Amino acid sequence: MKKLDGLYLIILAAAIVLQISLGDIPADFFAFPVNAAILAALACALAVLYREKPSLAFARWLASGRTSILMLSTLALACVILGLVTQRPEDSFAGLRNIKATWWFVDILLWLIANLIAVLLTRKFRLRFFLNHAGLALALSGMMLGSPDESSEAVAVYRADTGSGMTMTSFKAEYSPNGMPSDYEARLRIDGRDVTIKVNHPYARTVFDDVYLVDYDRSRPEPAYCIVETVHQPWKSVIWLGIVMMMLGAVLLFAQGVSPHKEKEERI
Amino acid sequence: MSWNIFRIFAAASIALFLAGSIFALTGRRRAAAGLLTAGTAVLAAFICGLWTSLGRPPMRTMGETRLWYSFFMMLSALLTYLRWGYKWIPSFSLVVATVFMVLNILRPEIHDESLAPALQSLWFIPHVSVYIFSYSLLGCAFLIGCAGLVKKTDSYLPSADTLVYLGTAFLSLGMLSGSLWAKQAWGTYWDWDPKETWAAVTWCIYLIYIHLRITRPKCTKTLYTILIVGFIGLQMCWWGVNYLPSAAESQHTYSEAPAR
Repeated sequence: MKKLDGLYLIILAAAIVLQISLGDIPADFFAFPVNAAILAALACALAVLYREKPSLAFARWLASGRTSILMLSTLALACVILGLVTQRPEDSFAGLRNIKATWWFVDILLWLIANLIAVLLTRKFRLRFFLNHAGLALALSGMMLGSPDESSEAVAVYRADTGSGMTMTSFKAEYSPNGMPSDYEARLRIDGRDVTIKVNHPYARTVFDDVYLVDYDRSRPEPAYCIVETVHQPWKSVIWLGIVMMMLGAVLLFAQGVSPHKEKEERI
Repeated sequence: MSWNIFRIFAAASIALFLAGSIFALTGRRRAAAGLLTAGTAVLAAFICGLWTSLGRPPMRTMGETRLWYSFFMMLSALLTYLRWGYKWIPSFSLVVATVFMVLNILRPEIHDESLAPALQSLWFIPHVSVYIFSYSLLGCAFLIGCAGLVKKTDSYLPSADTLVYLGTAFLSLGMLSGSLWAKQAWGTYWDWDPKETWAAVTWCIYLIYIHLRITRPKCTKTLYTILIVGFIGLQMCWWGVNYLPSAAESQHTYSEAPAR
């Protein structure tokens, strides 16, 4: 067990060295279908491992609660460093600027996802346990592995179409006494449809794309344009499902409290 | 109702809660329960009045979150006392609640009448109040951790477990509802914004407690220490992060509208 802990830390150190020597993971290195293939391969390999050789030292190590603690501690420590360091474009030491594209952070999260799959494969099914662990695995996979497929583009939308397929038909803003906008919304024509967007109320242009109102022309009472950001996130449903599963898991955690059966079941 | 008269409500609330705490320590449970309830109710009355006169939930500035924190600190201490009868819980919680009320009196913060557009969401109240409730439960777990370390006993662990399980449930709901809200407001579920990063740290710490308690239930000292470290994480996430250079670009600062 201790040897495998050591191996985990050596791989982490190697990922840090890789980061410092090579820099960030290239933007499309893990892009679809590579990310989906990695995830599927990982799940299949672990399924075979736990069916064929569940007593292998590595199999027992990966599925143990002790290893979960090691991996959670590593993640917590990485986040402390990330939380203390300024993330500005000009600071690029060890990839702290764009954490999602960092070798060592992807390494930490991939191990955590592997650990989650392993415990899901080896534990007896209990709803709360499943919701929390499978939900986290889905959310992490969608956020981390799905991030290379994400993109966003902000454009100014005018009353005449400038090629974005969007035009602004009207704009309404209200101001509080101190001059700050208290509420504003834009009526747009997108793909031949009339839609209203405002902060907290985006428009779902396609299954993967949402249109957000970001800002507007503040130089005149009748804005000539508004700034609209289109966010392309193909994995958003995977992340959403994971989050909702974890929320249900949290409700069960509250309703059931410390389960008396838990200790026996989860101890290896 | 406004912050001008807060000191009157704060003084009444603290006095009643203090009397209740003393009765709790001397073992007079009924009197203690009555006085603790009254002390909590006085603060609740102020929050209701402030809410009504502001015309919005008072959940936006640091001062307002401190107010809720004091209130939920008292409420969870009251509930914990009623349910489990720990006689020292009210006193410890009162100290924490008082610190936050005094901070509010010494550093009153001016509040706008209306919320910034980014905060005008149905997620706003659940996200913040669920977090504050989890903070107060985990604040109690922190007190239990301190008491357990001082008294060198493992007899507090079962109550710490209950508080951590309930607190983590609320902490998770706060974090996950924030994530759903972030997608709606900013287009991304999780952005490693400093506040989010510290929320992840804190969440991991309590998950470590839960998992360590299952795998090694007897490492009492470590478990109590994790409760203390977790509480430090909560403080970092809640207000400490505002003082870090990394927070300069955070979208989570309470004092101004998120810049985006």
